[in-house]
Amino acid sequence: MKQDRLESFVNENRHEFDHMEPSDKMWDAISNKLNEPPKQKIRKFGWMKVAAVVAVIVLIPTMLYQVKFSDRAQTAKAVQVDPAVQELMEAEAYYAQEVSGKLAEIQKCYQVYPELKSEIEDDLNELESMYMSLKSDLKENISNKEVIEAMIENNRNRMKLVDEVLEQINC
Amino acid sequence: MSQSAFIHQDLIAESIKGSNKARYQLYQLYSKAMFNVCYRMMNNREDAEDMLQEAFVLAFQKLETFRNESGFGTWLKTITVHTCINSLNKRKLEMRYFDEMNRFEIAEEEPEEALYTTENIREAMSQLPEGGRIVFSLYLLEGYDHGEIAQILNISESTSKTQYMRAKRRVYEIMKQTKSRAI
Repeated sequence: MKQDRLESFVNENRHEFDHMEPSDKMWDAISNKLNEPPKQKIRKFGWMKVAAVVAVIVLIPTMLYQVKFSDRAQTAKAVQVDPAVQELMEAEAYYAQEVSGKLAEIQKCYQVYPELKSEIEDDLNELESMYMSLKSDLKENISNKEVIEAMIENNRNRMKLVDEVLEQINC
Repeated sequence: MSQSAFIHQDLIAESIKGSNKARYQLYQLYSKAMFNVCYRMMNNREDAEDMLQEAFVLAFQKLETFRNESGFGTWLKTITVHTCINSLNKRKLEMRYFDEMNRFEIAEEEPEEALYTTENIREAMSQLPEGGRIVFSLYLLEGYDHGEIAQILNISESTSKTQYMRAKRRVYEIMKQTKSRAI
C-alpha cells in the first residue's frame, strides 16, 4: 500500500513518538519482583522433590521385592500354605493307612473266598489309576478345588469298598 | 535487528544466570521504547507503568525461551504488547472499536502540511476509541502488519484494516479541529 502523508511523516519522525520516560522507581519495582517470587518457586519445587524422593524410596524396594520373590512366594503359598492341598495330603495318608489295614484283614479271607482277590484288587486298581490321573491334573492346575474334592472322594470310595467287602465276607 | 540481538547475547546470558547488573543494563536499553509502547496501548501513565513492570518481569522470567530468531527488541515488544492486550481484555468493558455505521466513512481531506507535528498526531491518537487507537498504533508505530494485528487482538484481518482506515480519518479530523482551536 502506498504511504500517505501521515504514514510517511510518522515513519520519518518515528523516534519522536517515543517521548515518554518511565519513572526512576520502575527498575526497583521490577528488580524486587524478580528477586522475591523465586523463593516461593524453590519452596514449591523443594516440596515436590521431597515427595518424589519419598515415592522412589517406597516404590523401588516394593518393585524389587515383587520381581525377585514373586515366583518363590507363589510356589510356597500353593504348596505349603494352601489349606486345601494340606488337607488332601492328610486325608491321603489317613485313608491309605486305613485301607491297607482293612485290605490285610480281607486278604486273610482269600483262602475262604478265592474269587475275592481278583474282584477287590481289580476295583482298587481302577480307583488307583483314577487317583493317579487326578494327581497329574492337580500338578497342572495346583490347588484346584474340584480336583482336590475328587481325590478325597476317591479315597473315601476305596474305604467304602473295603468296608463293604469286610461286612459281607465276615470270615 | 538480529545484529543487535547478537550484541546483547552476553547481557542476555548473564541475565539468565540471574545477574541483576546485566538485567539492569537490558532494562536501560529497552525501557524507554517499551514504556512508550505501553503508553500508546494504555493511554495513561499509571497503567503504562504497571504494564512496563509486568512485561519486564515476565520477559526476565522467561528469558531462557528467547531464541535469536527475531531480535531481542522484537521479542520484548511482543511480550509487552501481549501484556497490555491481556490487561485490557481482563477489564469488564469490551474493547471499543469504531462502529460499523460511522460518519467518518466519507473520505476526509488530508490536513494541511503545517498540522503534521508529532504532538498533534499524539494528541489525536489519544482521543481515538481504544480499539481503533490500538490498531492504529500497532500498525503505524509498532510496525505490525494487519495479519499480525488480527492475531494479537483476535479480530479479522479486514476488521484491522477498516479500523486502521477509520482511525486515520479520525486523526485527520482531530488535527484539523486542533488547527481551528489554535486559531
